[in-house]
Amino acid sequence: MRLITTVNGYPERQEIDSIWSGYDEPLRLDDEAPRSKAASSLQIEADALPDAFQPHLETTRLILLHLPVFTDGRPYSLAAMLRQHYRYGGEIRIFGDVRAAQLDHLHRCGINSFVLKEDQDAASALDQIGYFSKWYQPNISA
Amino acid sequence: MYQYNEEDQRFLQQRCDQFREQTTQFLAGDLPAEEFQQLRLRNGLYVQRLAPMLRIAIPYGEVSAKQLRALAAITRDFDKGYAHFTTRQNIQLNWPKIESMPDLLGRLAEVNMHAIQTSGSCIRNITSDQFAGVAIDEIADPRPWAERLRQWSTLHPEFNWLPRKFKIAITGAQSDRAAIAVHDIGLRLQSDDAGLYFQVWVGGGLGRTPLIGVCINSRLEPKHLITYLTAILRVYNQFGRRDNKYKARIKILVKAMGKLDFEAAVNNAWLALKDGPETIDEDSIAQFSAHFSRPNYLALTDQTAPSEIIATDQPFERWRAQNVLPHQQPGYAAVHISLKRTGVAPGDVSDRDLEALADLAERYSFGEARVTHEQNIVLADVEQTKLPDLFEALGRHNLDRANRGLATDMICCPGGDYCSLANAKSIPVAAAIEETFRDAEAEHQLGALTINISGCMNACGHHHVGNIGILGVDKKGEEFYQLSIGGEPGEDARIGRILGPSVARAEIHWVVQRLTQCYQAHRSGEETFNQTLDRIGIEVFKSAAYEGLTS
Repeated sequence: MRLITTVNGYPERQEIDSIWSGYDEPLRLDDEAPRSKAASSLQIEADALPDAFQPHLETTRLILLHLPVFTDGRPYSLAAMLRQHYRYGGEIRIFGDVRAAQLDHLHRCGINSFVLKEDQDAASALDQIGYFSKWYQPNISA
Repeated sequence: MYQYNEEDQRFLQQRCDQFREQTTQFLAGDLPAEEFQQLRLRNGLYVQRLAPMLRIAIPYGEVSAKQLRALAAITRDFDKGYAHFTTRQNIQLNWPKIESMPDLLGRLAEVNMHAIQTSGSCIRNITSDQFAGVAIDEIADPRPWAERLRQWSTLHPEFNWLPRKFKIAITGAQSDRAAIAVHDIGLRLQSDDAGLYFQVWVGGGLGRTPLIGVCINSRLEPKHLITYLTAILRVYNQFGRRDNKYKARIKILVKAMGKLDFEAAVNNAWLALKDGPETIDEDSIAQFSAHFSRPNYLALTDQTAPSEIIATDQPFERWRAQNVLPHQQPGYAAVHISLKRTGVAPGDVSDRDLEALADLAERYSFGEARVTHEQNIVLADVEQTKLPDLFEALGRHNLDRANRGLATDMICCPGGDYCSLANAKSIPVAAAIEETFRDAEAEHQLGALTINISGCMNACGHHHVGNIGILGVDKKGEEFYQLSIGGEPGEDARIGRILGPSVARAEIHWVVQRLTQCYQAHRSGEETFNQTLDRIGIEVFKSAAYEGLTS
């Protein structure tokens, strides 16, 4: 598990090879040409369609999963599907409106790396993980 | 009923501790209001018109005498000494303070009660048949499954931020007393030669767009219940609309995708889950079932003729005929206790009422009571020979009204007196209608009739599925009410049709009375209201209702 703090809660641009939103093809990154389909890291927006990026998962080692607003539940299901349906075993890094109070649930959906929103306290975020001594659902792990 | 083990209790305590920390942070200005709002909603706390409102879950309607007493004390210590039973087997306090909420939740936790997920865009309280385990038309007891679902849905990591609220109801009887067709997911336990199975309905609901659910799986093996529901929720979480909260319920998604495509999407999502770790094995369901084993019934025989017990007592006979229901166990009966009383808001109880109910549950029904979605109480296991005693005791507490399923047994939301969403008041409308049907003889002659009242289109009062439905609307700042007729909950669920122009508050009870007079004038034999309506048509009712109206 990794906890990352950045200035604005967003990952470094150079880390991303392609961005997937609700289309069958990835988005270009600014002026750059589309990256190779054998990408090593994917950015996945909350509205992304997993079947579209699924062919690239085999060569992916890092997925940057975007939580646009803390009340958006889609990245939770995307992470769970990446683990359970697509058997993706690499790093899933959540970024965006990531708040301390949510870390436990995100973690339990198979997310193993977190870019905390800038105003969040890293120590209290970590405290959330394992706050409860019991859960009524099995955890999804990487 | 389900008995918490140490782990369950510790979990609840940790949830209270967590909320205490969050409340402290919020009050100190360290947690933004928009974030605290979401956290408090998931602990049952709303901010209403005049004060906060706390909605406490009574999972699938089962409550113990000890819990009723704790609720009574809580209404005294934290509120104004009364509470309100809702249409989803919850109980609401109307005047708690945010600062005292952690203590209040702690008091609830002492008796294994909570307010987890009674609001917010997540899976809400699981509701069921109030006669579970005792109904003579029961195929299988739904409670072990309801408890399994309660646990599964509690703080589910994936489904805490759905597009909108999500309601699940489950029934195991021939007759659907849980209104499963108007829930996001409705489950029906059935059985055939190969054993038990579930029928799974999705996309039902009331509110702005009332819809009857569709059956997307007509034979789901019980062991797959959790994995299949996870698949449904996953599809909804991914594709349900988030741009418009009025279009965000699963019913809109099911309608937009169409039943077949939705079913296919669920089956596709299910591939990764089916037979996985959340498959329910025989041992596990046996453990859950053990919590709902039959109480220590005495070996009794049925009392056949009520008149043999107490021949001259007319009020008792009437109450027995109306409020006492048959039971699986010989010599026992299920007793319906009406919370629709003159001068009291429908579903409201005082602290004294709660304590009286606790005493009666202990004395007559193995220390347990049930809450119904029609906002009444049931004592499920009463010895038939003790019915006269119970009736007398109920009378002392003004709980003996013999009106189950009759005109005055109205379903009614808190409305504009409390709720900040309401367009109009509901409680005074119910009171005015109650007054017109106060003659018990006339009410009995009118017979079975459901009158459901909602103060706004969110439809907490289930107005769409009332034989007569009343919806509060705002007309240039004045309270008006739109009427619909022909609605039906249960296994033949249907949505009522709008009758015509809305009417003013001062006239609504007269219109309702005219509708019932029209029904009585035209009914043939034992016809129900809806049967008469279907035969003679809505126009006859319409002209009867609006004749001579001033507004």
